[in-house]
Amino acid sequence: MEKDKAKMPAADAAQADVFENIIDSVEAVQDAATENNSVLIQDAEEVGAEEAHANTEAQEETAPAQAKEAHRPDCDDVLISITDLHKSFGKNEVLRGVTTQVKKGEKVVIIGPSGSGKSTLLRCLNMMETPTSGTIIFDGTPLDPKHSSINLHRRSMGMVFQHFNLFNNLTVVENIMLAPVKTGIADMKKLRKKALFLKLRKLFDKNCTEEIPTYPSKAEIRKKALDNALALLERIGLSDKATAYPSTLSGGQKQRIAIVRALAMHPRVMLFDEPTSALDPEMVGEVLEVIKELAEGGMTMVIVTHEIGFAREVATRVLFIDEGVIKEDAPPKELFTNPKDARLKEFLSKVL
Amino acid sequence: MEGPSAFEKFFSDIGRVFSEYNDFLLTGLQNTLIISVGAAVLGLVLGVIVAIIKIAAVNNKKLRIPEAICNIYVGVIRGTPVALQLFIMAFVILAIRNFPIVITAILTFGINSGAYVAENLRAGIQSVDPGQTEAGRSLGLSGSTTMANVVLPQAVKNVIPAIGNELIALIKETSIVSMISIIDLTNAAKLIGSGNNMATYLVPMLVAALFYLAIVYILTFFLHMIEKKLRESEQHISDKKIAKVKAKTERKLARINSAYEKAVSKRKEAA
Repeated sequence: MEKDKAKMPAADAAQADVFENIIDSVEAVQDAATENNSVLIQDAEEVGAEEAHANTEAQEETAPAQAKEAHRPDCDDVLISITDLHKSFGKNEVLRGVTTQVKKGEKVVIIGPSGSGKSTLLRCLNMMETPTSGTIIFDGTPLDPKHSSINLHRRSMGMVFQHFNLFNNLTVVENIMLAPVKTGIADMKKLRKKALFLKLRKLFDKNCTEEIPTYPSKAEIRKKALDNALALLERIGLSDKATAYPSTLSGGQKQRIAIVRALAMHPRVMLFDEPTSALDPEMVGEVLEVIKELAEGGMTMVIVTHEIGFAREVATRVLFIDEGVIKEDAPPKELFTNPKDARLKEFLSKVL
Repeated sequence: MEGPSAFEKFFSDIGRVFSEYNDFLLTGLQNTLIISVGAAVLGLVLGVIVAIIKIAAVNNKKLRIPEAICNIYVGVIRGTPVALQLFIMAFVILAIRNFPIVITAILTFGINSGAYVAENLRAGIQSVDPGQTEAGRSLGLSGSTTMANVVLPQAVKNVIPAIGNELIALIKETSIVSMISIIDLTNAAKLIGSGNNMATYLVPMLVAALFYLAIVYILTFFLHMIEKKLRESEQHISDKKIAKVKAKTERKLARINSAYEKAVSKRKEAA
């Protein structure tokens, strides 16, 4: 215990900065230490210190120097930082230690043979799969699939699936509006509660200067979501399908709508999980066009794909994954013209 | 010396059932309907709760004990005859003086059909593509919001035929309440036909059968209507249906716009 405590303040301040949610517990520990502790506080101390210790330790031991660099505040253009990610399904170890980062505005394309773990890696990024070990830091906060904050993080990570997964029971426009409306109303209710409490407090406490938050009405939230949905549909040229059910659309249309459905949440990063693999060859082009347009708009993207030509065109960086590890990580020009890894050479000779 | 022919007697008997014994018949019909409707509502509520607990317990260790209770409930109810359950309820658990016996019947049949509804609904929820849940969660919706807005509506559509079967079976099963001497439709027919009354079972039984048939037909009609409505999101729908859906959605969107305008004008008035 004493040792842990000593280690805590010594831990790199910059690193601690990254673990925002841990910091609270750390502070609690330090406060508690100064205030001569009770049994209860000791418990809290134990938990907090252990947690922080485990995290700093994990970082020190496993993260290569490069990953550590990313945690410094001056590298704040890093959006997603993956550290020693492992994932197994039962005995089958799919990811065996992946460490990389995605910077803001980067378009990372992940290629690799089937079963290599590229989809699993992508699904781990927004915790659709819970990693067996390792950390994913998104925008400065470590993701925890069990904590409710994961829903907040997922809002800013749009995901597009191989099989579109449009909501079958809703029309196209309702598909796009569902998430903005539901999350908007949930947020509004929280703000309303806060405003109510503050109003009550101000009745008794004249010195309270905290501003009462303003919140939109349900009608406003719905209207905003509707206008946004229609604008997005206009952008992909599917305004006339707004009131149709997904079952009446072609694959390409469905996928384009799935993309704008994710965009409706104003995500900071888009994750594409083989967006064109389930499409007729004829329809691949229209979907890639939308993705390309998005890329040109400066969106940060992580794309798992088999479309090598597309990867070459759009990517700023290509990762080649095989057997659960990143075998090669280079800009597309270099990776495709001058592959170093033997497995990558073999892979490229087959797909090109 | 010509008595009434068999035909004439048959029709006059039908007349007698409706005129002389209509109080029996009405009480019977009333009890059958009360028990059926009460049990159906209770069964659906119980079934939904049990099914959701069972589905939620897959990913949540905290729900292990409720899940175990649900499993025992479904196992015991489905593994024992409903007549036995009725006796146990009437003569053991609810053997309280002056306890309304119709309530006993409602509870028994409700608890009984709850187990079947739960299993049907669970199968229905599991038949919805997991990609639907994934898509909802990936947008930042909570598990319960996704369940309520995406999964359940699709699951309900899939289970309507099975639930309909269960409801129909339930209505007919209520006829065993005569075993605990409730006058339902079946028991009423038996009483009307007994020696003290008409001394012929043919006509009262036929009349009771007609009532059951009518109830089931009406129920089937409504179930078909609901199913048809829920299936409008499915493939190969005609141009006419597409136009209908379009009109409906447009009305919804217009409502959003008008609600917004109302809110804006209200705000202006206030300011």
